[in-house]
Amino acid sequence: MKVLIVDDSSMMRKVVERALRQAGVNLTEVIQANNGAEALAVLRDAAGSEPAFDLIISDINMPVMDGLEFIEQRKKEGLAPGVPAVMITTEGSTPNVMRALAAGAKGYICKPFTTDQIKACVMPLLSAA
Amino acid sequence: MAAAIAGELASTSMSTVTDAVYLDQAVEEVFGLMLGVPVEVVGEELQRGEETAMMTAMIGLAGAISGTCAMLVRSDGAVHMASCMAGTELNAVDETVLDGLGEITNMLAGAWKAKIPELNGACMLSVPTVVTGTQYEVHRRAPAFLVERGYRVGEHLFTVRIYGVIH
Repeated sequence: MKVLIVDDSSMMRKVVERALRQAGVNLTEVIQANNGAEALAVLRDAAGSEPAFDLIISDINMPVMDGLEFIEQRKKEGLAPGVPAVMITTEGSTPNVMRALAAGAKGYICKPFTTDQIKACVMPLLSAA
Repeated sequence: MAAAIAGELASTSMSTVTDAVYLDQAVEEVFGLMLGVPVEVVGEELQRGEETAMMTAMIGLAGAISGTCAMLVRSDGAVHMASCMAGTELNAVDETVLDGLGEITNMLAGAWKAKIPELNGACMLSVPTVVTGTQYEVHRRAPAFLVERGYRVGEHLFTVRIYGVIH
């Protein structure tokens, strides 16, 4: 599985990667981005390659471009449209969840999280892909 | 919508915001789930004092309340916390430790506000700032509320302080 992890915290990117492995995701490649703008650049570069990614996991509260702007812009540009995106964030309020889902996010996980929560959210998405 | 929520908050929830049980629960969750270590409440809060090895991670709160969520910890405690979170032994304060300390404080702030329904949708968090040392001053409006607790993780003490103004 090829995964794009978007978070301004290098520590959280490591924690998320570890949680995915513990959840049983067979990671073959992990691409990291510091913010939404970097993630968009990664997706634009990968446009046309098959498969670009199997999963995108993004934080919301990031400098430069936050996670909600990122997935909204991704939808607008039609980048990797079939790749499920999951938000992992401390911002668990209803408006944020609604905005993320409207922009095409397939899952929403609040920090702090458990490996079981990651598994329950991510595995059905990967199975359906 | 936000103003109405803030008005409701100001009139009804000062006691909720200052109830330390929500902070205790948030600390327990973050350290238990993300660091895999237990914490205990201790009677004393860690103060800045004259210690140059002190580190302070801060998250700004905006919206229904304006304020700060701060965690104070000595550098050896910060290294311990970051090591637990990273799952690898770290030996000194570096970018990974600073990053980890900020992220832990971010999760504390998020977990705390998530426990207070009036705040959860009406309070936003800033990205973290981490200050090393004690030679700084924080200038702020007189806080209308303050909740502060001391904790111990392993052999390390740390303090979490949330203060601000309710709008």
